[in-house]
Amino acid sequence: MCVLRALYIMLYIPKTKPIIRKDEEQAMGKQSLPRSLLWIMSAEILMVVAFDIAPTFILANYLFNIIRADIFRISLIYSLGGLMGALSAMMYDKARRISGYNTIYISILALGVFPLIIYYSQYTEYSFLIILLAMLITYFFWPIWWIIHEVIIMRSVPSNLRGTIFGALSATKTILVIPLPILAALLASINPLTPFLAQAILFLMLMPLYHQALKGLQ
Amino acid sequence: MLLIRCKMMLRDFLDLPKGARKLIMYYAISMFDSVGFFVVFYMFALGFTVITIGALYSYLLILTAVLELVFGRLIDIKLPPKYLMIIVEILGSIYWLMLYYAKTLLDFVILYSFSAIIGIFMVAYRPIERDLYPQDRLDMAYKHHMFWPYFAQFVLVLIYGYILQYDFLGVFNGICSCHVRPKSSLHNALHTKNKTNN
Repeated sequence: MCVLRALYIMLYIPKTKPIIRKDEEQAMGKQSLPRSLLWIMSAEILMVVAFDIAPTFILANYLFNIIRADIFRISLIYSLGGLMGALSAMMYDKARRISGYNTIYISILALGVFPLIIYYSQYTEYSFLIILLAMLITYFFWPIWWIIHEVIIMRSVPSNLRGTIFGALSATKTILVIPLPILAALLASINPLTPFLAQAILFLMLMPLYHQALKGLQ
Repeated sequence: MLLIRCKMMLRDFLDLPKGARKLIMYYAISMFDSVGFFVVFYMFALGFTVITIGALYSYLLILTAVLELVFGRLIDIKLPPKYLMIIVEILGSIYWLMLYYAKTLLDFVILYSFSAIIGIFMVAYRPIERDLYPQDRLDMAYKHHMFWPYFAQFVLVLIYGYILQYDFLGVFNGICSCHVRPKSSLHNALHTKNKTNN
C-alpha cells in the first residue's frame, strides 16, 4: 500500500512551488504574525497536550488488559467512530449555518465531557458500552472542531511562511508532549483511567483561547 | 434524506479544485494504515507493560522535535511538500516491514526510532493543504478532508477487526507485510485466517 501511495503522490499530487523569494526572505524578519494566529496556535498546542495526557495506549490498556474486550469489539469502537466522523462532516454545514464558528465551543465542551464518561465507565458493569458511547461522541465532535480550527488557522498563516509556521508549531507540540506518555503511564498505574480526569480539565481550558482567537478574527 | 445529503457531499466534492480533490483522496486511501490502531494491542499481546509503552512513546517524541522545525523551514525555502510526502510513504513501507519482524523490546525501540524519522517528514501535510485547498472554500475542503478518510476508516477498521479476531498475532503480521508487498501478503493474511478456521 505504501508503495502504491508513493506512486499516487508522484503521479497525481501537484508539485506546489515554494513561494518565498530572496527579497521576501530579507523582509521576513520584519514581518509580524497576526495576534489571532498566536491564540489559535496556543489553542492547538493545548489541544494536543490534552490528548497526549491520555494517549491511545491508556484506553487500549483498559480495553485489552483490564476489561478484556476482544479485538472485534475494539475495532467496532474505531469503525463506528469513523462512521460518526463521516456523519459529522456531512452535518457540518448545518451546524455552521445555525451558530457559525461558535459551534467550536459546543465541540470543545463535548470533548471535555467524553473523558469524564470514560473515567466513570469503570464504576459500572456496562463499561465497554459506556466507552463506546463516549468515543462516538468524541468522533462526532472532533471533526467539527478540526474543520473550524483548520479554517481559522489556514486563513491566518501567511502563505510564504506556511512551512516555517507549521514546522515550528509541530516542533513545539512535540517538545511539550515528550514527558506526557510516560506521565500518563505512571498515572495509569494508580488507576487505569486517571489520565482522563486531567484530560477533561485541559479540554475545558481551551474555551478562553478560542474566544480570544475568534475575537481577533472579527 | 441521507441520500440527498450524500449527493450534496459528492457535488460539493466535485466542485473542489483538482489538486485539493486528489489530496483528499490520498488521505482517504491512507486509511488502509488504520490497522495501525492495533499496534499497541499487538504490543500488549506480545507482553509489553503500559509503563514500557509509555516510555517508548516519550522516546519517540524526543527524536522528532528538532528536525520538524528544520524541514518546515526548508519547505518555505526550496523543498516542495510533495517530495516529503513521497519520503513518508517509502519510509512507511520499511516501517511496516520492521513491524512485521518486531518481537522484543529492542525491536520496538528501533521501530519507534524509525517512526520518529517518518514523523519529521509529516510536517509536509499542512503546508500542502495550505497550497492546494482553495482559500475561499476552506470550510468545504476541510469538510471533505474529514469525511472521506473517516468513511474509509469506518469500512476498513471493521474489516480489519473482523479478520484480526481469529488469530490476532498471526493475521496482524500478515496485514503488516501487506503494506509492503500487496499481493503476496494479502494472500498470507487470508491464508492465516483460513488456517485458523480449519
